[in-house]
Amino acid sequence: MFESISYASAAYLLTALVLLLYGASLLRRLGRAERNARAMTERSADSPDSSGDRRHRSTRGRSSVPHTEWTSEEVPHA
Amino acid sequence: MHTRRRPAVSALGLAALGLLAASFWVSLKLVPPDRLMGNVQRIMYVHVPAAWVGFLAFTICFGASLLYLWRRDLRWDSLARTSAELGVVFMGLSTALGSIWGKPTWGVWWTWDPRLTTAAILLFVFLGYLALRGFVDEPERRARWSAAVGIVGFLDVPIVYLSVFWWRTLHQKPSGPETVATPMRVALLLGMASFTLFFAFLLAERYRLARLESELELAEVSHV
Repeated sequence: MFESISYASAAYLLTALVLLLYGASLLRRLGRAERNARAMTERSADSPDSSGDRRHRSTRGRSSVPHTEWTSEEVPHA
Repeated sequence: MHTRRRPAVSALGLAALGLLAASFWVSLKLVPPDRLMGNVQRIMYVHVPAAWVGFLAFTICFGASLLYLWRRDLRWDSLARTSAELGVVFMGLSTALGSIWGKPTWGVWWTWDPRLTTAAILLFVFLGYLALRGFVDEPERRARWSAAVGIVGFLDVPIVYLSVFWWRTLHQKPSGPETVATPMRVALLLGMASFTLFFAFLLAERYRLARLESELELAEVSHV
């Protein structure tokens, strides 16, 4: 009987450990991602892009290289 | 960006933790030990709920993968990824608990029984799903390939469940209300409810993290 209690205790201990450790790790990762997101938002707000120039803002997120560079026909052969 | 936790989710987390604690107390203290197996049978109150939540998570992953392929909306991919990760956690836990139960009952930690083998295959398929996501950088391609694995991997879920009916197995068939005494049934239902509630909390938080990661990834790309 003692042995079976040990197995049951080990099972419940393992369950509690897995659930709590996974939960804690998730909340820690979430906290880090939230800080990164806030930093990113603040950086965007501080950047000259956000000064209200609509023409400039409309090109944000795009590379300065022409779009045709992404097509396979335009890739230069080595 | 999804930076704030909603009060309802915080309340859900607290309620789930409270119910889990109550479920542990009922399972370990209130319910009598089994007549034949003794105290080791108490593992049922965590082993079965963990397996149930694992199945639920893989089913959500299946549905979200189908919806991603249909709608091509990356939010469905985030949900599929979230539920696959949780499915691996709960299925892995259920397998480990089954192993702890198997040692005093069958005399071995592991045997190549159809139920155990199909469950192990399910676990490894979804570990592969998570590994695959780490290898592919391009979000659309990653989502498409993952959806295919998520859909094919799910096909093992009914096989795991039905394995005890299809083949002669060491693992017992599911117990019904007619074979389980009322106090044990109450403890099992409490375990199922608490695990499901905790899973819902983890799903909400992990989904928020997945969306944050996805938005940060897109923001990084657009700033390059």
